Amino acid sequence: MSETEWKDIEIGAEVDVSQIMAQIRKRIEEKQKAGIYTEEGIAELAEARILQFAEDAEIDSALLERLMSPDHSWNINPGYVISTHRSGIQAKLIVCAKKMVRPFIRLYSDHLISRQAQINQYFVHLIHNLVREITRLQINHSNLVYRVDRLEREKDITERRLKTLEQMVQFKQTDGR
Amino acid sequence: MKIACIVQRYGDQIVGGAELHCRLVAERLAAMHSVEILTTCATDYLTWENVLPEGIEQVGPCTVRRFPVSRPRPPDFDDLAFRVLHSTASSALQMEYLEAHGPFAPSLVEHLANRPDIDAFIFFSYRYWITCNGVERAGDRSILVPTAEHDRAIYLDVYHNVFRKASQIAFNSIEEKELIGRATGMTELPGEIIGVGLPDVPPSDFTRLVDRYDLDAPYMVYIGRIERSKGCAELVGQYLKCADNNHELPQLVLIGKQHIPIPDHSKIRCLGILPEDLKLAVLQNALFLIMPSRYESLSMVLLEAWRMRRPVMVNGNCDVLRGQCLRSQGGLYYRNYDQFAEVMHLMCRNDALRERLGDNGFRYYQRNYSWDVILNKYSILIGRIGDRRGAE
Repeated sequence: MSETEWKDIEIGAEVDVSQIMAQIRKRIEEKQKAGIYTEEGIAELAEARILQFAEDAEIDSALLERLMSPDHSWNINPGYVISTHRSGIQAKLIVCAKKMVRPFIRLYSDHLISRQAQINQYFVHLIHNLVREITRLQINHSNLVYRVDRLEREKDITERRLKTLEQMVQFKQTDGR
Repeated sequence: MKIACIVQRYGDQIVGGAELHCRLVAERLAAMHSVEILTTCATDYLTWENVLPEGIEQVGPCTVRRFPVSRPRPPDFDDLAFRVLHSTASSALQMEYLEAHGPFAPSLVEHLANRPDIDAFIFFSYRYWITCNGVERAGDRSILVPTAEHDRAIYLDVYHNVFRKASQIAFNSIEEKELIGRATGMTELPGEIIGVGLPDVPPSDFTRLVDRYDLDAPYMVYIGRIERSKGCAELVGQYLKCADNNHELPQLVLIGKQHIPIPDHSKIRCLGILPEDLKLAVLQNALFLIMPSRYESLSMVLLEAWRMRRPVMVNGNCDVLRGQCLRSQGGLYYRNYDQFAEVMHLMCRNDALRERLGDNGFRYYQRNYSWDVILNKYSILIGRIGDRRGAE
């Protein structure tokens, strides 16, 4: 970052943290308006979109938080805690019975659950990356549209100047005769 | 007056925010009152294994009475915690979680009922089994120091009772009070915003450290456990990204126990755990302190920086840290990478800004966290308990 880029952050004799932060936010906004996004800026924008999609779909907020976390805690897992809402001797018997049965069930279910977990992980990874890539493409697209508009405006101006110059040349030639 | 402080672990060698908070307050109160510490025999908060001998010992100016933990933390605790914290758990399951979380020391809680001589019981950290059951037992003699962070545990019903039953609450910050109010639905929370002061440790001679730790170039410093939950992985990633774009960026110095791998980079220096005086010397000579944690109820290291007139740069996604910066005018904050990069460059380049922020932080520390102020507020809480009991 060059020295000159910091000229517009004003720091008075008395420091006002809110004001400095407002200036920093404004600088970032201006950069983004000009289409200058960092990788992290794109990632944040993509994440905001994913959250918006999830809100539209009315997903449970706890699950959504897990979906967005960097670990894979949202995924299905063959391991689970055996417990019961009951209490006393009845609870102990139920938990004991469940613990005895579990190894036999897991003999058949673990393989399926493990494969499904991998597929889930792949799809989540794929979707997150797709949203990010679409966001990046949309930003690039906006930048290109903006540049094309600018080029068209410059072309119009150049054409008008050309016409004017041509008319001037014609006028001078006529005048010369 | 006779005061008892209840905390999950206690001792000079015990590292932990709430434990240190308790020790600092207890040692200062001991100059004015008779202070006893009621704690467990455990030193490890993950296992609660009984390591220290049961019974009475003297630690500094305080009498410490240790009680055994009857049940260690179960091996499947993490699974249980995940279930409880990430779903709508039944009351029974929440109770199971609280007991498993521990430290499960029924003899300590029973002991409270046998101490009519104690005028006030001060409980540290709301999330432990001994606090939840102890506050109920101590009733109108209880003062709770919640040390609450904005995590999922605060929303569990099983904890809400502790805030309702506490006679007085010593909050660490206004944000902590608001968080507890939001989580519990309680509009009136009795107590004061107090926080904690700092120990009197003079920093070591910095010139002796320069060669030893290769600190001759300007640097920013992080102090605390170097782990993911403290935001350190994110900090290192953001810092390296900044360093790629700016080769003149000062070094990042990390002090604390390392729990995550840190990339081998010429600009990042991990000094490990340092004695208090060396740690303070490194902080005093830093350009600024950086605190990337999202979950803090106070952050004593922030106060430490301000006491030394050092400015701070904090994670603005943590309400408490952002609030402290705005109230003190002693630091800047960031909420995403773009802001991180801008704030980082501003803090590194602008000497006058750093100086002014540091001075503001120092004044804020003196106004709110000097021991006179802290102890005066504790006296107010203890006095209220006495008044209430006298009225009855």
